[in-house]
Amino acid sequence: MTQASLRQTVNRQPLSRRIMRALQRYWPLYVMIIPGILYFLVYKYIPMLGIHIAFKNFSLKKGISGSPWLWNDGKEWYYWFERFFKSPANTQIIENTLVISIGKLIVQMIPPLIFALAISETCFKRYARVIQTVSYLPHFLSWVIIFGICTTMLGESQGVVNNMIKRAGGEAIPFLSNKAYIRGVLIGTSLWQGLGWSSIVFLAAIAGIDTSMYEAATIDGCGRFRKIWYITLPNLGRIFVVLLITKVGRILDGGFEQVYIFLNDRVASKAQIIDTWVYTQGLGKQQYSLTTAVGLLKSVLSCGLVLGTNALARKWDSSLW
Amino acid sequence: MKKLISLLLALTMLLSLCAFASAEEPVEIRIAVNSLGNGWPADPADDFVYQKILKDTGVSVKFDLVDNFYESMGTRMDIYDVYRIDIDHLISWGRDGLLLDLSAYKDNELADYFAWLGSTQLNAAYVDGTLYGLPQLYDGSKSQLNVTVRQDWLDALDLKMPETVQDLYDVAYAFTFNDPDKNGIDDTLGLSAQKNGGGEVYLFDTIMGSFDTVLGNFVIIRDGKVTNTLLQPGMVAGLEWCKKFVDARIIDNDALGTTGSDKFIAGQVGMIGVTWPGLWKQYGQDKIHNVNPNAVTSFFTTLKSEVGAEEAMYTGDLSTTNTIIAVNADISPEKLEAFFKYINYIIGEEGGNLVFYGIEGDHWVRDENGNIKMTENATAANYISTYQIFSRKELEYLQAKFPEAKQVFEATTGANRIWTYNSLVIEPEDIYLEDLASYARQQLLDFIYGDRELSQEEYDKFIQELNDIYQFDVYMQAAAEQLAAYGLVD
Repeated sequence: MTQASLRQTVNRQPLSRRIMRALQRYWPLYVMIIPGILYFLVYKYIPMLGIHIAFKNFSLKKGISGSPWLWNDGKEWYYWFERFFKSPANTQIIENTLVISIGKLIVQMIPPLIFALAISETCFKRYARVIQTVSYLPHFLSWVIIFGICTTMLGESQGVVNNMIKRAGGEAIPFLSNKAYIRGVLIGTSLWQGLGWSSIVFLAAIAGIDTSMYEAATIDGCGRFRKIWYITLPNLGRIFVVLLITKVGRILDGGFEQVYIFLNDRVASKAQIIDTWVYTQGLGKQQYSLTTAVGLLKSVLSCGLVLGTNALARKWDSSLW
Repeated sequence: MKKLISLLLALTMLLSLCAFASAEEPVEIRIAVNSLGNGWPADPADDFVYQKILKDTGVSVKFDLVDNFYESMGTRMDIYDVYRIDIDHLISWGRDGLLLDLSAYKDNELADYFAWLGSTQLNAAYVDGTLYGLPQLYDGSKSQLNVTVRQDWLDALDLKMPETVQDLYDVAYAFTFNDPDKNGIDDTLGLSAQKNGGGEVYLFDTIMGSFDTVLGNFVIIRDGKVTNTLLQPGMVAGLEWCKKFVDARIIDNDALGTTGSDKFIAGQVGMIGVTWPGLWKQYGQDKIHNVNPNAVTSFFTTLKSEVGAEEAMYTGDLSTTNTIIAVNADISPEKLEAFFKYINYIIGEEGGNLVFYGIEGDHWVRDENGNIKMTENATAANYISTYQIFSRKELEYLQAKFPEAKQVFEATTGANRIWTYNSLVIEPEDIYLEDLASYARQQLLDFIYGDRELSQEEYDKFIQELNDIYQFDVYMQAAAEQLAAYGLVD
């Protein structure tokens, strides 16, 4: 029996039989996947059932299923969404969220790419490896620690940077307590924290590029920059788009932990984001339904953004699916 | 027959054992809290307070630390009998039917507690006319707000302790520019503050107090009427002074986001507004002297009022803002009875001394005047503050516990305060109170830092914005009605 006819025979078997066979044959793989499936089921899918409290008047006493639906409670179904949009602060926080997120998106995409190129082009591999390892370290620091470093470095009265400015005859700059600087500080610290870590993906992609292309280019007389321009960058295009699509999905997040730590009254008008607002309004005042509604809204919009970016990427034939 | 007799005998023995066990079995109360005292013993066997309470009352009081308290409690409420919660949760859980209505016990089991507590802060525990909680004692000595000053710097520059806002400005200016530490480097600053957890802009409250107001949305009572710190006539004049400090660069702007305590300890700042005189306790003083052995600290509590008001500075919420003890609506009668027993025990003298100071003779002794004096062993009892669920007679306690800071405690307790009543006011449903308060704080800082023109006209415009956008007037109307219902105003 030839290979092709054998495949046909197998395909002709009923589906259940084929599944059974696959299970028998690859059972170790299927066993290994069980914890993963359980994880997603327990922590990601089952909690999703709770989303419907966005349309309920949630009460701790009555529980998720026992709480009354908004329309049975004399309210419109969009009551919580309306409450979010009616908040006098909402245009400000939406603007802040978008500006901070887009800023972070840019610094998490472009500089790591340049950094990865620089690392891969370094001749002294040992030196490159040391730089690479050092650049990963900030990724493992919590925002509390980074904030501590920032106050030591950027503080107005005794910060290292301001002390240097003052010694040089300048005036201290209130980096952490001035509206004009706070977004820059948030985006800058995000860059500092993520630069090395985000470059890993690019480095891996660069390592995967067929070296014969570079050899051919060398023979054709290409210099270093031409090789980067004509070989490395086009080869990184796809991974760049994939990363972009996943990051665009989180554009409404803005980074709660970081912003919450850096927030103070002086800068709140330029730094308060949706998540920090939800925290103070929702959890501070136990409005679980409100916070769920905002979360749901964010998820729907993010999902739309991911689909949109992917559709756009398809035009250049580098979509995720 | 033999078998039957032996079976009966065995059964009788078993039953008697059960009866014995139930008679001796202590009633357990589980109290959910979001923090425990320092050095909390993992095993109740090592917890002498637990053992003593168990022995004296037959009640087993178990405190459970709940991480991410309010986020977790949603699913874990029925595990616990009693909760230590804030006023926002008292309102929402009370309205939700999760908390026990304690009104019926007020004149019976809880009569002694209410006599011990006094009157005003009791109002904080009522939600829509129902008593849902038991507030902490708040006897005015609870916050030891003061401005701690480097006396050796004052002496070096031949200055005296500030008494007015102008003095404060002059001293802060001299501390910043006249090299008070005589090291020849321009590295000092006049005034800083501990960051306040509640979001108040504490850095400027020292100044604003002289104008009988505070930066922020605080409900106050003046001339028998409910009003707000934002509406105080001295507001603009106070803001102008704050701006003067900022423009002169003699104030630590970092204190808006982080604490300035470290700078004071390191000798970088000459004056600091603090809410708790940690700097005055032995370890605080040791830290300061480690940096500079010649450092001398002194303090002041209030500046002279610029508007002829009796109150001079600083806030304190008359009702307890932080914690209230509430009881699970489904608590069993035995447990409730045991809880009342525990309450009456710790407000009594013996139980009170136990939960405040520890075991007599071991952690504390009485001196010749009959005052309580802590022994060297007292640090072993640091954790027991958890058992003080209704707080304590603060002044008495602190003087015994930290005799080195006695003068600060006495002075701060006697200081005039701007009493606020925010926690007694439940805002109407369609008001975004957090947004209102946040916007007010932001704008006040904008006035001070020059982002918004500072004039009476512009300030009136700001109040109009609060009314138009945030319904500030509606909130104040509700405040006036609610405080009148408590009998605090006519």
